[in-house]
Amino acid sequence: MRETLRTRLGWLHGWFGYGAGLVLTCIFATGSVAVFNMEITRWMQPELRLTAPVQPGAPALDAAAHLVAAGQARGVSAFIALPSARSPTLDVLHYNGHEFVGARLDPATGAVIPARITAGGGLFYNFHHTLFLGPQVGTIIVNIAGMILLVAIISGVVIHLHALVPDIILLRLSTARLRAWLDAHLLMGVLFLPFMVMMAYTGVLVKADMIVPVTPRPAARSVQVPAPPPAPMPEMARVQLAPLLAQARASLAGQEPGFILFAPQRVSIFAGDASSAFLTRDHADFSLPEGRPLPVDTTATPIARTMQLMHGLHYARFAPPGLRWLYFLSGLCGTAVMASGLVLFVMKRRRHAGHRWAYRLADGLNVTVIAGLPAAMLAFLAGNRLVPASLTGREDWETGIFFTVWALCASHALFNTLRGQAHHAWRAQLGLVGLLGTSLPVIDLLCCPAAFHALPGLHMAVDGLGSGAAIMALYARHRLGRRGA
Amino acid sequence: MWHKHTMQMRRINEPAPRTRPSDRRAHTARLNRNRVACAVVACLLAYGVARLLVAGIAAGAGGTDRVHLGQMIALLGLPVMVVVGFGAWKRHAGLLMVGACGCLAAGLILFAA
Repeated sequence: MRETLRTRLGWLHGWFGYGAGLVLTCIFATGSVAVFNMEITRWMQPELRLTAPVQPGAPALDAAAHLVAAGQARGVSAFIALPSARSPTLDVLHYNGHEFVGARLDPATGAVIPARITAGGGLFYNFHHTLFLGPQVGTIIVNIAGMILLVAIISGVVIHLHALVPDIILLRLSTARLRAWLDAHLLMGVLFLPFMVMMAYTGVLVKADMIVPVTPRPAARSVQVPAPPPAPMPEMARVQLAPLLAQARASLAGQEPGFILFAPQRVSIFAGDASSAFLTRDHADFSLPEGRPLPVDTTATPIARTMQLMHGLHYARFAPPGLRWLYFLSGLCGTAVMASGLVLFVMKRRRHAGHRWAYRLADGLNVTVIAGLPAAMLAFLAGNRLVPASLTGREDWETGIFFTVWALCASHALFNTLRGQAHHAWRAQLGLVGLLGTSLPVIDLLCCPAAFHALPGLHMAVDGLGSGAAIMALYARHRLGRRGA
Repeated sequence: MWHKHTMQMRRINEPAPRTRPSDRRAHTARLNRNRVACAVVACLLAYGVARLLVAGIAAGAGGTDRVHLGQMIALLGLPVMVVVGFGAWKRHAGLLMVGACGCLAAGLILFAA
């Protein structure tokens, strides 16, 4: 075989793409769903029926401050998330190692809403950026996968450079199966190339310190000064937050306050992430316990502004609902590009290596990622309705359901594919996705009719997405049955 | 086409000399080994150059801004360097190009120092 640039980069695209593609498909799928993480959390807490955000009153803020103080007495560092268009409750949250959880308060009265504890959309968000492997190891793996995605994209563009424009309009579904899959891969790959490049680049830039850290240079004559002992927190219950919030709103010109964070000497009121495409983290500081405004420098250099824009574009918290749906659909198409790439990689090697165990293992991993992951996600949503609302530690149960179903799908897929029966694995797991997706609206309506009546748009959207996934899975299953493995 | 041993031109209708399957397998295995080795070297070299770039750009005064600028440039250049280092394989031209970038980045550090 003659070695050319195309054959060489084709090899790089194929092997790098397959190796990282298994992880990247999961990252892209959960990231697409995590665009609606707050909405999913609202769906998973049907006891919350507030429709529009209300400005928090003084009693509600005082109640929230009491909860923060109570948390600090237990050694839990909490903060207050103010109501927004996406989450109309006043939340007192803390980080539990995986996601932000805590009490939800009515912003008008300050009464704690007895909502069920849930892992919520935070599970998808956490899985997207750490694979649930912890903030250190998981983030590094995700960053490496993102970098390999960029390598695969560049090599893919070089391979198809001569036919980049024709590929946009070429889709031959009725030709040979390999050709049809390749057409689909190329069509979506070319159309969503800018989106995938943007998300991969901004994604690795968000955690750039972990992938290309800067080694601090030792100071020439540094004097080791012992760190001062941590100052005790002031009496939080006596802090009046309402006047501070009014002052912060005035000083954060044009930006709506989003979070209130507490430190031993001061309270900081941060601008909400939805304020603009730049994730500025502008804040107004006040001394504690007097509540005197402290000077804050909010000027940003052009490079800092660029970095803020990169963060803002990746997180998309500024996006109105329409743009959020566009992010979601583009993310799904990016997932489809990777999934079709995984299938192509295996199909191209079927004739020469179909009898080898490594090939069958790869086939099994494909089934686990492409059919098993959606099944686990739908089981997680259904589990939220089926696990008793008052069960202690129910968020761990929900997370357990997600990973248990996925592990069972992986075992089933590997058991079948290693015996040379990949067709059975595909059909069974696509059928499971169809079953779970179609049953989701039924379970939702039966378990929480009042919530469905209070927020019909939200419930129809989530249930509709489940049904959409089911229809696609059942159609794929039907095609598999008709045309064979 | 010149014949390998007799140095006479091969006729156009003469079938090409057939390689044995074992030769072909050995050739493919050697090709794959070379590709894996080249990919590993290209990745390691590109990563090292990216680290040098960040250190070089962040070396002068300017604090966090220069660190961010270095990271933006390095993370943009890292995948390009991997592809160039692996793709331009003739006489290891790609690896030499990436190495030259590394020298430039190291020069930046020395210049700032």
